Amino acid sequence: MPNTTKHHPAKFWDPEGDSIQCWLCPHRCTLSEGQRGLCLVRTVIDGKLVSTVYALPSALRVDPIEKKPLYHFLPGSQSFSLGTQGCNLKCEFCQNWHLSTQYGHATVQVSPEEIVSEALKAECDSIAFTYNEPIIFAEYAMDIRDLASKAGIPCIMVTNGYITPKARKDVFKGIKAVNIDLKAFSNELYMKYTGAQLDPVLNTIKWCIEEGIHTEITTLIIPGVNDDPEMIQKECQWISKHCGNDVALHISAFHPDYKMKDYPRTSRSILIRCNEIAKKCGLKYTYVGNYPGFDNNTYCPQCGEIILKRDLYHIEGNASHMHKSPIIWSVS
Amino acid sequence: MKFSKFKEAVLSPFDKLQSESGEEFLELMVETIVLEDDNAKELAVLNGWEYSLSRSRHWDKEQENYIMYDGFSDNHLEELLEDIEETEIIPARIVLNIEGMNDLEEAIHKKIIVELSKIND
Repeated sequence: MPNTTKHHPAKFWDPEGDSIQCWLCPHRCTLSEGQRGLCLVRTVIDGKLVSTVYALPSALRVDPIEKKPLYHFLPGSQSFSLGTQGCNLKCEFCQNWHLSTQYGHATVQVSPEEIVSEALKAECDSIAFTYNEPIIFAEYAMDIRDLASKAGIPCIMVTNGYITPKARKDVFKGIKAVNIDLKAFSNELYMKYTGAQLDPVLNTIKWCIEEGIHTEITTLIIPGVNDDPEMIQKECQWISKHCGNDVALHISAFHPDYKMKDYPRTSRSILIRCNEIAKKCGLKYTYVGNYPGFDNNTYCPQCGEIILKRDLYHIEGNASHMHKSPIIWSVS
Repeated sequence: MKFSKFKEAVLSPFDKLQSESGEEFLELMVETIVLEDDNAKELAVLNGWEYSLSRSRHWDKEQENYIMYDGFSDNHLEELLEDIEETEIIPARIVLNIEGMNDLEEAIHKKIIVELSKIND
């Protein structure tokens, strides 16, 4: 029976002299008694690293899977979605900052068993770790994933991909689909706006593809920050080379939030431009999110027929389409 | 609530806002729609882009200049009105929070308040 107290033993750390070192994410925080990691939710109590968000979700909701966004995985299904608090990145443009910058405010305990049973009760086809960064609530997510797997429910992660290779093997084990945020294709921008580095994220994307985890990528386009056509082109060329042209790329519109309230909302022209660049780089499945009026249907690249018709979260699928399609209709 | 009156109440301040932004606006998007009661207490918040409430202008150096997307169609506004009328307490007003961009890629932040109780009169 998992421990559901407010301090749950954490994995992914080693003692280091009088301190401990957490190696869950590449920040590798060295922490003394009582100190919190950069993620805000992993702290040292009695010389041991603990998670302060285990079984303490701050958001629980049944969402269309398209909202994650995952467009090529169990389309039209509902996903039992949960998130906690904190984050290991410090994005100034965070669109979920109410969760990512908080800690210690969740009070309602929901055990992994209850999550799985609620997901079954709600007739959801998957459980999604989302809203804030799932990597930082790894222990909770892993316990849910193990129980969900026994119950035949696939788990998915919406993540920034900022994790060490050593922890990744355990945390991503058994995860069936991921959407990874690729926030900019520049280490300088990553450092400036998120406090993290680009390479570990790219490594996670490549690793997920190699491991056969269904992978989709999202880039939030912020005017004047990461919308430079040359950078977008480099990103798309990298995706094409390392992930193949069948991977879905979600080009998402930024709305002013958190520390970037003075920035403009992404305009339609910028989104069109980014989408065109992605297509020119060979990516077959690009979608524009957080913005109305774009054709986000999935077309067969061979014959042009619609495989999936999307109207916001209303989906009409053509599972019997005769050509090879990137869509995963069911999980065994 | 009569649709034609609702439409006019939303569109006329929006059109005015657009003309105030002159030829410079590239993007005006209703980000959120806040439903409030008589005491300005928030009843619900709706996501503007889910109703496609956006207007975009194309502009380039060759002086091509035209409205390339206008989501303020009857269908979209009707969907919004239906959702407003489905709320448990009929709101007294709606606040449209508008975000946008001008052709210098600077931010536009505006707010439109539509007094529904006056429309009902």
